[in-house]
Amino acid sequence: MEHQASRRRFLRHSVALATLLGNGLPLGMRNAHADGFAALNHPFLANIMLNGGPDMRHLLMPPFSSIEGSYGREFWRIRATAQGVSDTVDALNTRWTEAYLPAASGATEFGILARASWLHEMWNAGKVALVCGVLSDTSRDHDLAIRTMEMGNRRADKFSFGSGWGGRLALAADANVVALTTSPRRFSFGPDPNAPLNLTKIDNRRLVPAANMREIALADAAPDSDYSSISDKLKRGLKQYYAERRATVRRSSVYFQYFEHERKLRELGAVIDARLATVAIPPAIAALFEENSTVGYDLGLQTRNLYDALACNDLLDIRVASMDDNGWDTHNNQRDEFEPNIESLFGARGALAALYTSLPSDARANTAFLIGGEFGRQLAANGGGGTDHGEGTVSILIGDAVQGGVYGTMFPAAELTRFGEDSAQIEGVNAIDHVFGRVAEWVMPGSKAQVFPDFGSAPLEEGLDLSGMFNA
Amino acid sequence: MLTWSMAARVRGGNPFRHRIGYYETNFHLAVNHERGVSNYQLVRYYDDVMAALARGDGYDAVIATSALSAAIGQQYGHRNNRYYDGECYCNEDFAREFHQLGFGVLGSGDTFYHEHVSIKNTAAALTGMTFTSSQADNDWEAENVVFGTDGHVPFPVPILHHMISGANASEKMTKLAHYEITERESLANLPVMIIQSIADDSISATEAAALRQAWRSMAKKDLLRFLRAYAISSLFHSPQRVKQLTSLERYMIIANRFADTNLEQYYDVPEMWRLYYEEEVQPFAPWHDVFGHQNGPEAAASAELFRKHYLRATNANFAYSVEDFNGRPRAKDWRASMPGGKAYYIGASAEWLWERFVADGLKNFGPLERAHVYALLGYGRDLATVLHPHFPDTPVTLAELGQGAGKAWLTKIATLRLPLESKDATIREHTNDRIGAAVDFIIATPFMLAEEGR
Repeated sequence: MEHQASRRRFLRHSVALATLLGNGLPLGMRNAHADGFAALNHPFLANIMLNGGPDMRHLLMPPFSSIEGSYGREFWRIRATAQGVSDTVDALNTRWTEAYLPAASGATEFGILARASWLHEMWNAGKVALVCGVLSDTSRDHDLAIRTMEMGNRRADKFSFGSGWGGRLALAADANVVALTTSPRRFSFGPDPNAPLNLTKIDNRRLVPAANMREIALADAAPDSDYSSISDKLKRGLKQYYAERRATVRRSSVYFQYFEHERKLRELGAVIDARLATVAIPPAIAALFEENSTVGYDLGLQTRNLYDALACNDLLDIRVASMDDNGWDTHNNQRDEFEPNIESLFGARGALAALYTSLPSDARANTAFLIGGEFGRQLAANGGGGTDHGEGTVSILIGDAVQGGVYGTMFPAAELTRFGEDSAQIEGVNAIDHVFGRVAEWVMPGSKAQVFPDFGSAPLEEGLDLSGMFNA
Repeated sequence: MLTWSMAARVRGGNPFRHRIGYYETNFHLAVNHERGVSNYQLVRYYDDVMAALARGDGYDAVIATSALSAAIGQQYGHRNNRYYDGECYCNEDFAREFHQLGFGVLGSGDTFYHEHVSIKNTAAALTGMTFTSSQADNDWEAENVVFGTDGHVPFPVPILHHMISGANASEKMTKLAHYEITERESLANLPVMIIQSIADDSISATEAAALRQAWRSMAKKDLLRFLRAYAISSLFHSPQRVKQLTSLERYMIIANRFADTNLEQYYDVPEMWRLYYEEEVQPFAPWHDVFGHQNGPEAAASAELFRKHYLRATNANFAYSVEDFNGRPRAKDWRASMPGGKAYYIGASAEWLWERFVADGLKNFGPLERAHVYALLGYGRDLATVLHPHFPDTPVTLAELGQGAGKAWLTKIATLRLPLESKDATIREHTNDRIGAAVDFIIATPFMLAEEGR
């Protein structure tokens, strides 16, 4: 039995990796998969990077209290302008009751922004883990902090570049990572397979570029072309040119990547086109592109791409996906700028709700969404009704396999004494090495040390146990 | 957007000048039309920065000019920042980015001071601005900045361990820039940031040290002088230097190399519209907002952009005569630019075309590239159809070209002439179309997508 399972796994890998590693597909396989959405039988991580440093405290507020000096009163006081209301008990209480939906985890009570109604629904279903005080980078520099987070390398400096933790996870799982953005994010860059612990080296052979799953094929002449047009002559000439020239280009050459694009698109295109011809776009996802949708085109397209990639997961042998969303750096008018983004992502008609409800049950059971940004914000709102750069943030993990709850201290009591300080920030105390490392372990048991080789020296809040973040 | 694009492509203009302007306003201190910065503010911003560079202002003054523009004030929102009674009603957004993006100063080594003193006081220094309009219809879109004392911090403030004095934001920020350009972190980071963005995707530690040394040695930090020196340096011409082209760079090179006349640019024969609508790269709408536009490595990593570029090339748009805006046929005549001294021999013409677009000293114009381009130029057909007419789906290999018959064919076809001077207009038109097809082939090769130093 075990032997048969191994053989099936070997065969599956043979098909998928042959595609990516350039061995070509076995004859006949290109048309052999017209069988709809493929089953997903293993853990799958969809990482959604929110660029700009989202203010998770705006999404997850402590309950308002009218007791002067209490955390609930004082935090709302310093956040009044970001909430778009005046600092009075009545105004703040009204805002709390109208704009937030109550939630609790043990003794921790909080509110989830009502515009994130799907997130609240998932929370109530016990499928949301909120990891607090997450630490990626201390510089408050977007560029560096994003790179640090995506590389999973807290030692990165301003000119450090290298593989991403999603790419390393794919290698650890002996699978691939699918990049659903126009340009693949560093998160999905793989390591050198010969030196996987060297975080500065990159090898993207396990990266599946899928900025538009339904237009992934490279231009090619129609099968019945008579090649009378110069366009078709160019298509045939270039196809033959790339096939012949590729072997002469060194992997270290800057031009190698373009030969790789050509090969991957040509080989993947036919297979994916054949599969997706049998997979209809679900109505909820199609609705993301309608005129009255609250979801922007870019996020909508990535959402559809993820659905399609999961439909082809057997062909692509993917365990990890990379997505992103922009517009989370809210220094001004936070209520007006932040909340539409939240609704777009977490609302009842938002991107994640549309995707989750559209997925087959096995895909839902095995997919986890990890959502967060490069740093958190400062405790107090600024003079522009926004919040400035800080440090600690919240990582949101959603999925059927997730053990819902709050992990780490959501509202540290010690913050109360710092509310009046200049630039006081939410502290980052739980390093990404541990938080994301736990997610990596779920995707591929035993992978944490390969994906986050420096986790041994990474900080973790005293007493925090992340082992229960996923259902056994 | 279109104005900039046309200015950068116009014959007789200075593309380098606008390339630098693009760097300053779309990468270094980027502003975004999509985030509410008005056209009036964008134009004024661009013109002021270009004027500062043209005057030979020190780079600190150029950055100060940017920092004090209405476009930056609108982008970051500090146009509304006010300081009253010891309280700063401010955001810290640009106060931080002035240091980080403007000068590469993160406050490393003394982050507490940086966060609690420098950034707080930079936010205070950026107070008291009001916008007025010369051309815009309303104050919201206004392009002029008045640096007032009302609402401005009325005393010197400590920033970067200097007391920064001045009656208004302009005076304080100009003074701050003057100090900041010689800060340790700025001296280390700024020259590397500039060259990394403009010219080199893979700066080694040794090269970074050389750039820092050169920058540090300039008493007055003059960006253009620095870039000129770099352009004739062994760093720039090193074979180790790699620049992966952004979509915009690729389109601009192709447009400038294909079109010989301003009329062609005006009619958008090079199809710049595809850059904006297919590849979604629009000047002054940077992909990453204030953190800059699409960069070379991310363009290179994108299979999607490769697919679109490949599709464009294989549509063979350069191989056909088209109509202009007025419906008149616009036939390309390569005699206008192709050297006639070589009598339009196919071999010489092919090399000229490769150099015109790829410009790698023919380093990558090997026998396979030559064979494909020769076939298109000589026969208007793909290579396999020419050499394998009965089995065109069998690719022509390098081994085949390296054998006697293959070598002989290459030699023979290279000496044939393109009938560009034919008295028959139809023959001339077809010949120009073949040249266009060869251009389509050349731009679809990987060697059009990146450059190496040489």
